Amino acid sequence: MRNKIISILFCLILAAGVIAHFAFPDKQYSENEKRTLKQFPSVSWNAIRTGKFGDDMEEYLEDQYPGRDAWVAAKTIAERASGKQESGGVYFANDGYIMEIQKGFPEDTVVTNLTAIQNLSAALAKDNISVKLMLVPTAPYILKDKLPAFAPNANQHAVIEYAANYRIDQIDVTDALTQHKDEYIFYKTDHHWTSLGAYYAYAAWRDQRGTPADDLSSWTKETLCNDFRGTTYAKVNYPFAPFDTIDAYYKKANRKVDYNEGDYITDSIYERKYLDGSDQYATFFNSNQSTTVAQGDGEGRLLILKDSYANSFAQFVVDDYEETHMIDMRFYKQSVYTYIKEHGITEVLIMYNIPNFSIDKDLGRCDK
Amino acid sequence: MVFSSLTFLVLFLPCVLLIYYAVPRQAKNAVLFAASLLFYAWGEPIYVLLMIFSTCLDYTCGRLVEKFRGTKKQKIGLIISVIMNLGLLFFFKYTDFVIGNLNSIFSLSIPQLNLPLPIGISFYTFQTMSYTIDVYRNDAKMQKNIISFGAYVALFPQLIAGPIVRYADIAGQLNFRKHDWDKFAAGARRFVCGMAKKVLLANNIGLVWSNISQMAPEKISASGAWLGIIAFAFQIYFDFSGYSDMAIGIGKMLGFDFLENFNYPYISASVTEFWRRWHMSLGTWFRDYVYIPLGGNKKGFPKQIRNIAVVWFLTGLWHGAAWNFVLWGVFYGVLLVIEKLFLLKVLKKIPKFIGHIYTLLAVLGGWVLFAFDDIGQGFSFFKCMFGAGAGFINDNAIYQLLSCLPLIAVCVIASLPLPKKIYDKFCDKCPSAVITTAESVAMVAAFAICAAFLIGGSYNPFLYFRF
Repeated sequence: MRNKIISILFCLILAAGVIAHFAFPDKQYSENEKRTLKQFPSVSWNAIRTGKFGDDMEEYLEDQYPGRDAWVAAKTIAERASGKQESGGVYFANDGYIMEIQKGFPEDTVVTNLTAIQNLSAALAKDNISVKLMLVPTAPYILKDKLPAFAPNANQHAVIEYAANYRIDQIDVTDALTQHKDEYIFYKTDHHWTSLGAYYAYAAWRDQRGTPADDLSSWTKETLCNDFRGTTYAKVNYPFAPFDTIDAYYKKANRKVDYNEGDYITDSIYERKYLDGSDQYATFFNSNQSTTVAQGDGEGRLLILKDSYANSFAQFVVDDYEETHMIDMRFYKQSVYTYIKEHGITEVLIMYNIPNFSIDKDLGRCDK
Repeated sequence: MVFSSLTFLVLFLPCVLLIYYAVPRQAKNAVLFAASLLFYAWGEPIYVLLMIFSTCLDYTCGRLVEKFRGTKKQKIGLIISVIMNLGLLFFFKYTDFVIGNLNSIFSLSIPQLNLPLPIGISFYTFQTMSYTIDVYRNDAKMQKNIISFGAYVALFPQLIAGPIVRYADIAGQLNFRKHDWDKFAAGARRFVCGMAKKVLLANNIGLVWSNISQMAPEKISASGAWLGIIAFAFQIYFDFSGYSDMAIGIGKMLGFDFLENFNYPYISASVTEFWRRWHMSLGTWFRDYVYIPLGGNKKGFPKQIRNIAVVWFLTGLWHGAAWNFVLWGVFYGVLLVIEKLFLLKVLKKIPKFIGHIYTLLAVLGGWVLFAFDDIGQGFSFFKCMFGAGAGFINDNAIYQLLSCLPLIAVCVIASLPLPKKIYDKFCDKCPSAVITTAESVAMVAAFAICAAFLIGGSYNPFLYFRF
């Protein structure tokens, strides 16, 4: 009797596994992981012959198995229960922080990117256009006190020190951020800095230019949402993770913004439709666009060559210039130099977070 | 295909079990043969032809042996089988190794074949050879049905990672085997145990080893190196014995009784004992088909030493076409000879724990040789174990140790006979309803956690691609 029950239970579990898979329709996109999911592999003689079909099938099942997010959460809980301080490429740090694990940086990409920036600076120096590089250390470096004890952690500042060997003007915001490390300057569940963190970097930049920034209180603060769970959360789906709050700071509620040279023109730098989805950080300047131009009240035209760290940074900058331009090299495939000439840019700021800078394969084109 | 994949658990196994039990007895071997070919073809579609060739070859050789029995030609089938099987194995597994060595010794530049190694070739060539040899020796009857024979050769449960099933051991079951609830339940329990060993223990402890072994030697502290090789020892044991458990479990569900392959090797008090408990089917194979035919221990001590040397050189080489595996085999050969000469007698006289410590140290040393294809790398790792890397201890080692301590504790307990003893006692003492409930809960939980780790896409390597 006992063996009969166990046998039937085993078969039922197997059957449930099959039925669950076929009962739910496949999804195209994972909102939570922000990536397209693998679809049923295409059947071709070539794919079967090389064994690729089999590999694709396994990835397809992993991606499409019903309740994938919940299974990932279960795995995370099991790993944490076993005493592990990391899972899926992130550390569980103090105060609810989930931080990406950074162990080291590939030197060749750093060299390529720095060389390109040096070339661009030299070319623009002839036209009296200044180029500055701001490499931003991320949470695991600035908030290293919060990491699990003895956790391996890359020295991000070494990249800034390495860049000092090049003829590039740098703004080092490490100290400015470290001074405020006890404030809410990085999201707990996302790899970005908060608007507050971006403000401290902005202030350091202004200090270096000799025109100190206004006090933060001169901006209107608006809480965009307080149920944000970002990219580091999505890697582990840890149900006990905290929620983050996203704040916006603006002096003028409405600013004309032009994305991708006339593709989409709007009157706010905040694209509030993202607040309903899971990628709420994308509210700042409409996620990542090839080119962005925001109208301001100041003088001169600033170009920021950037990754997404600049999106919350730029909200403080728009008031200072007549136009603030942003280029995301991942999508912009033309000559940066030509863009600068055509749009009458007067000043260039290159801004990346350090882990991203060290793997970005597109910035190396910026001197072309 | 591997057992610890969603493709196997969600698609292959349920379908095969369903069809296997739906068809009448006479068709079961055909279903098995077809399923096994599909299983093999999943990752290696071309090499399935090789397996079919191997099947036809030994089927014919068996018939030849039978046909010419008692005549001068009776050895023909045997010789063809041994030459062809070893030839296949040599060609696919060792040609590049030989070319590489010739090139470096004589500074030649013979181009390498760069053929991918057919998965499981070391297992199935050994099995098909054993068939012809067993028939020749009259240990088994010739198999007249090529489908049944094919089912034996390609038998998917033990196809890619053993155990090596000798033909004589399952000849009877191939033609007639019993299917009942008791056997099915025993198989299901065994399968789930094996799956948990592979997915939960081996994969996770393997992550510790992969973290440590990938570091530059100058960053590995002595404690980190020891932790790493202990993690590797657990990884390979739970991975390999987990596969064997799954194979034996599926075998039982299909009505077969395979022999055991592991018997708590890490509780051994001598290296001799270790090899009676580790990968038993391989040891038995070499004993029955190499050591004893060479004369074993019956032809004087010098010949016995020679026989041991041959067996352990081959055992090493069987695990992979690289010198580190040969060295690993020779290392054990030497230890076994030393034990035969005097050490076993000494170990019997001194407290038993010394024997355990000596065995564990020898086995860990062996794993260092085994883990690094590049002997130089293995040697520098070995030096790290004595502080030549980053001193005695560093932050990384402390971090790794802290985060895997509970897992190591579980691994230690799981590698002892203790859990099995507790389980047996529990089954003895408790009423049937309690046991059934507990087992059901445990089975559902084990499946759920394994599913979480498989769907969550964790580290899930296949370790036997070199075998």
